[in-house]
Amino acid sequence: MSTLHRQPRTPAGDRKEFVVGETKREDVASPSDIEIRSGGGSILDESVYMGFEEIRDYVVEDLRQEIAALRRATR
Amino acid sequence: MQNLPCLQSPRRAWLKVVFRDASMCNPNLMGYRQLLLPLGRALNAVRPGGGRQEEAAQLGDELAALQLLYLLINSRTWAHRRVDALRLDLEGSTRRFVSVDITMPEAYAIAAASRNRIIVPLGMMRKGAIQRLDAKQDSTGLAVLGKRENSALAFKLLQAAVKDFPRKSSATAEDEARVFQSIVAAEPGSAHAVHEAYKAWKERSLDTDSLTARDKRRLIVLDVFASRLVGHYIFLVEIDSKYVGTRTTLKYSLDQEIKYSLDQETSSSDIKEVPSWGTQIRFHFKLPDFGFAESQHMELELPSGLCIKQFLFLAFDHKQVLRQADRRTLPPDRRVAHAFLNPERSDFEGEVWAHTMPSKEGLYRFAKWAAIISSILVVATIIARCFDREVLRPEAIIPSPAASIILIAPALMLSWMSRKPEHPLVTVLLAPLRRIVLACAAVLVMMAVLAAVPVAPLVWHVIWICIYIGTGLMAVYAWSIFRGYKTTPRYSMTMKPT
Repeated sequence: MSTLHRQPRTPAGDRKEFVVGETKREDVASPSDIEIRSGGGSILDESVYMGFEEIRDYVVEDLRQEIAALRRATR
Repeated sequence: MQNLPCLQSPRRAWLKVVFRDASMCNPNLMGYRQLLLPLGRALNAVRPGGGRQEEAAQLGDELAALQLLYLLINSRTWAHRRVDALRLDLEGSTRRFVSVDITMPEAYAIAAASRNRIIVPLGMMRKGAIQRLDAKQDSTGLAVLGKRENSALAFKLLQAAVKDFPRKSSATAEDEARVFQSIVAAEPGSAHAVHEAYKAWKERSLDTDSLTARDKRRLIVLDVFASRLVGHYIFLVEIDSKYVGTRTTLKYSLDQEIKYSLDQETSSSDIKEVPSWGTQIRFHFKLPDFGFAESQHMELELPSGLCIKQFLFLAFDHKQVLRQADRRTLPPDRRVAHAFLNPERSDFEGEVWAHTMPSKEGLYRFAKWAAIISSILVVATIIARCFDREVLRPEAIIPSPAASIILIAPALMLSWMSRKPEHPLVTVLLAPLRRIVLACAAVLVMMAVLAAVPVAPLVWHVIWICIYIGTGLMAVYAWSIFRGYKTTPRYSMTMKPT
């Protein structure tokens, strides 16, 4: 018999509440039966571990200046 | 840096072959080569504008790389809306259709090699075989940059990210080029080793002792893209330059791979088998490039015969805390679901969870009524056999013409069995209903056999016992299955916004 059948199911009415900003992923997500594989994640996946989001605006400004300078030079 | 092969013009490469590489020359021409070498150098030096052209080409490459960096880092300012639609079609394939609304800013439009064309990055794609990729703009085909051009631009991007960065005296341009080339050319199997080689290169080549704030930012940008480009490539397409500053929609679609998890013990491994059956199936999709566009929409479309009970679009931060959510509980029998989020940060991860089950129209209703009617019929036969003198007329005989009438029902039931190719998800979810219908058909066939063929008393009683036991088991099975459809999905929840 399939293991899908063996998996316990939450009885009707037993609903979990979750709070945006508090609830952890494991409390929301249950193991999936089918997963569509995407190789996905965020656009700059590992950036969070490098603190990229905190410096994003500065990086954008650096690039803006460099591009403007290069555009002037290539004209 | 300026002597790297990728930055050399084709003209210089040609000169290198003709004048420097003796192995490529006929020995009889060596004399000419010796003669031509200084001549070539002299011609190159005196050619009007030759040096300037080369310098302009280098500046152009650098500009393209910086523009690409800017567009990727700041994508939410020019990519307004992205719709990812997953379609599970009846032919058995799972395709992702992506539609991106963009307005390419003029200052950051990357000039393509083709005349009057610009390059647009549409996100990152995992390295490996991409199946049936199709890109379109206004219903016409869109040119997708090939591996060579893509790798060259990614290489320049890494170089631009670390340009003017302080280096140790032992650092060489060749070493840097080798490491960056290995990053952009890394295959999925070698990604870890390549990333380790990159870290080692950073240690031995970059001088990180006295960095300015800007250098620190550059290093982070390099780290981010080096780690990302090891396993992914930048999906680049070309569009007409007339679309610069004009809002336009670019579309592409590709096949997606499905992974089936059988149970908790084996879910960590990649099992590419279809689970034998399930009343409801949890469906998970980790959205690629969540945070690429200002507004991210997600759609799921199931094949006919299935429906979506609940649809969740969630965003988690790196600590795996839920940060954004859109929950849709759908009306009955909807096979298309839609949700959207406006990503607050580009490092959030977007995920889709869907709860799917057979649609209540079609086989679901047919199987339910087939189980009820077959059970009632079998109970009626028990009553008829207990009170046969009161129920049956004395002239009732076997073979009875009723057999052919009874056989119509199993024939009708078997017609519900699919003869066409179908998506594995349909096979999985409709399997219990098909089993119920088959069991009903088997019960009715046995009854028809008894009505059509005069059998010995022992066989008569044995077949009736089989019919009773079979019907009982089928009724219990059907009851558990239809009860299973009514259970609440495990991840049902009530949103409580903060």
